[in-house]
Amino acid sequence: MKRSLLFFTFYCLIPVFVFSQTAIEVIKKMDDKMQGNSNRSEMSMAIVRPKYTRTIEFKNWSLERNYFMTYVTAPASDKGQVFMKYNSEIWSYNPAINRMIKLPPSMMSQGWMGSDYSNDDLVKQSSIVKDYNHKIVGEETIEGRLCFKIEMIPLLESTIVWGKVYTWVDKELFVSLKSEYYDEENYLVRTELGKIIKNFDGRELPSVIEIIPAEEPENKTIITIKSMDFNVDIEESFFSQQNMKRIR
Amino acid sequence: MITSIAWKNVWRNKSRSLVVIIAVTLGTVAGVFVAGMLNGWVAQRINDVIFTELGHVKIQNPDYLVNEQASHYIANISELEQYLKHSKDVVAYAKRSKIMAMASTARGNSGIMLKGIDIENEKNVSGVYKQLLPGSGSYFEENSRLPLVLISSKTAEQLRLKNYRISNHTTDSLSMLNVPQETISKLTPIKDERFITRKKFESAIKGLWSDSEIRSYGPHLMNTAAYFQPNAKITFSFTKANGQIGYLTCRVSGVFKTSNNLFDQTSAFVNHTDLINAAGLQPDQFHEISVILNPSVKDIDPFIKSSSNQFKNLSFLSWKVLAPDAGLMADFIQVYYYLIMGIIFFALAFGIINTMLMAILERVKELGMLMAIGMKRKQVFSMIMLETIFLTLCGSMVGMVLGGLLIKITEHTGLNFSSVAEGFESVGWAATVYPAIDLSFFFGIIILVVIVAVLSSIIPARKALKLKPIEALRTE
Repeated sequence: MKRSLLFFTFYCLIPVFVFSQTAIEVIKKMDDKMQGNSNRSEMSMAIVRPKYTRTIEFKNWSLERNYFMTYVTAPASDKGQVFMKYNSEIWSYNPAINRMIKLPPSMMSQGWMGSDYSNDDLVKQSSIVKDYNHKIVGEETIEGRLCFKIEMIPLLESTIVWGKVYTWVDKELFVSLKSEYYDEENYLVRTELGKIIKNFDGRELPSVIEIIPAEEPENKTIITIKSMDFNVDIEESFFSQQNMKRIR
Repeated sequence: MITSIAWKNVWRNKSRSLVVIIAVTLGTVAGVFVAGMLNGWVAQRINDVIFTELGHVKIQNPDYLVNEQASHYIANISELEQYLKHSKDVVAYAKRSKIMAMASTARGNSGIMLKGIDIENEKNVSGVYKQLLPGSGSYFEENSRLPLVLISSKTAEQLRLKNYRISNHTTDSLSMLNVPQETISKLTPIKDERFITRKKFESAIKGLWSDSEIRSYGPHLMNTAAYFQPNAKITFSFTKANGQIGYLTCRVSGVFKTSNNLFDQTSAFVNHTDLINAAGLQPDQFHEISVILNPSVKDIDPFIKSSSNQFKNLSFLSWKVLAPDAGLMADFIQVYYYLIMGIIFFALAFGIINTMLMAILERVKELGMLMAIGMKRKQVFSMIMLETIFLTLCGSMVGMVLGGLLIKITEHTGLNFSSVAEGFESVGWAATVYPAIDLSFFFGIIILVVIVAVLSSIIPARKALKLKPIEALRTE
C-alpha cells in the first residue's frame, strides 16, 4: 500500500517536473533569441498619448546583457543623446549641454524618454530567467500562431514589482507574442504585444512591440525594430564614457 | 465714596450699560476662545514636531545637511552614546540610518527617505507607532519572509496601494448609518470592483448617485470603501554606500498618518539591520540621532551649546531650528494672543467712549452740581474713570467665564476642521483642534481691560472737566 502510494506520487510528479523544466527552457530559448551574445539594432519608438504622438528613433548596441548603449537619432531636438547601461548603472550623455550624468535611483523608475518603459526595466531586463518561477499552464493561439502560455511568478526575494506575469511564447519560433503583467491583487497592469514577425539576420522576430497600460489604454508605446544584427563584433571597451561622446 | 458713586452710576441707565457690557462680553468670549484655539493648535503642533517628527535635538554629521549621502554618517558614535547615556538631561534617544530611495510598486513610484530604525527603541522617541491607521496592519508584527516597511497613507496613495472597493462591509456600514436601501442598491453595478485612485472611484460614484446623495453620504462612502492593499510588496532602489544602485524589497507592515503631510510624504521606516544589509552600511553607521530631553529642561540651548563644545565635528540642532514655523509660533504665540485681544478691545474702546460720552452729556447738570458743592476735579476724573473700568470689567469678567467654559467643553471633544483639513495638514497643522488656555492669560486680560478702560475714559473725563459749574447748573 505504502509502496503503491509512493509510486503514485512519483508518477504524478514526473509530468509536473518535465513540464516545469520545459517552461524554463522555453523562456531561456526565447531570451537567447532576442538577445544573442551581442547585437546591434535600429529601432523607433512611438509614444502615443491622447493628445499627441512622439516618435523617437535610436540605435542600440548590446553585449552579454550587462552592457548596453543607445544613441538617439531622431527627433532633431533629442538627437545625439546617449544612454549607456554599464552593469547596474545607467549613464546619460547630452551633447547639447555636454554633460555626462549617472542616473540616480530617483530617475530609475521614470519612463525612459517619456515612454512606458522605465529605466529600471532596462537595467533589470536580464532577470526574466533567473527571477521567476516558470510554469507552462496551457497552449493557446495568438493571431493564428500556436503558443505556450507560461505563468511566471516572481521569486519572493526578487525586485520584480509584479504579482505574476503571463507570457505567450510561439512554439516554433520561441518569441513572445503577448505578455500580461499583473499586480499582487491579480489585476492586469500592462499588456505587451509582439506583432508582425520579420526576419532579422536569420532570426524570426516580432518587429513591432506594443505596450498598453491596462488602465489607460489610450497611452501606448509602440516599438518598431527596423534592423537587428546578432553576434556582431563589439568589445567590452566599446561601452565607455569616452565612446558615449564619440558614437554616431 | 467715589468708588460706590461710580458703581451706582453704572447701573443708573441699565439698558445702555448692558449694551456695552454685552459687547465687551462677546468680544472677550471671542478673544479668549480664539486664543484658546490657537494655543491648543500650536501646542499640538509642537507636540507633534517633538514627539513624532524630530525629537528635541537632532544630531547629524554636518556634511549630511549639505548632501544627504549614505557616506556622511556620524563618525564617533560610541563616544557620543556614552555621553548621551550619562547626561542627566537626556531621557531617550534613537539612532537612525537614512537613505534617499525610490519606492516602486506595479503601478506607482514615489521618492522617499528610508529610515532604518531600532523598532523597540524608536517607540521611546517617536510616536509614529501610535498613529497607525486601523485595519492597515501593525507596527512590524506581520509575518513575512521579506523585510517589513512602515509607510504613510500619503505614500500608499502615491504608490497606488490605497484602493477603493465596495464590499459587503461597505454596504453594511452604510445601512448602519440609515442610508436608504435604494441608494445603497444603486452601488451594485460596481460591487467588488477595485478602483486604484480616488478620482476613478469618485467618477464611478458620480455616474450612479445623484448629487444630493453624494453630498450627504459621499464622505462616509469614501472612508469605508478605502482600503490598503494588505502586505503589499514595495521595491526600494537607492544609491548604496559604494555608489552603486541597491535594491530592497519589502512588504508593508502598516500604514501611518500623522498631522504633517510633508513628514508623511517623505518618511518610510524599516528595520535597521534590513537597511544596512541592503545599502552596504556598517552596523555602527548612523545618519541621525534624535534626542528627547527631560521635561524639566525648559531651554534647550545650553544643552546644545555644551554638547557641541564636546563634539565639535557634529551638528546639534534643536527642533526650533529644524521646524522654524513651529519654533516661531512657540516663541511668539503669547504675543499673538494679546494682539488678538488688543484688536478686539481697540474696536470695543470706541463703543465704550461713545457710551461714556453719552453718560456725561446726560448728566451735565448733575456734574455741575457736584462741582459746585465742592467736588474736586481729581475726584470727578477718577469717578468717571472708575465708572468706565467697572463697566468694562463687568463685561470682560462674564466674557472670561463664558470663554473659559467654552474651552472646557471643547477641550476633550476637539473642534473638527476636516472639511478644510487637507489645507492645514499639508503645512503640518492638525485638522482637529483641542483648545487649551493658560490661567495666566486671564490675568493678562484683566490688566488689558483696565488699561483700555483708563485710556477710553480720558476723552469723556476731559469733557466733564471742561464744564464750568455755573454754566452746567443752568442747563436744562
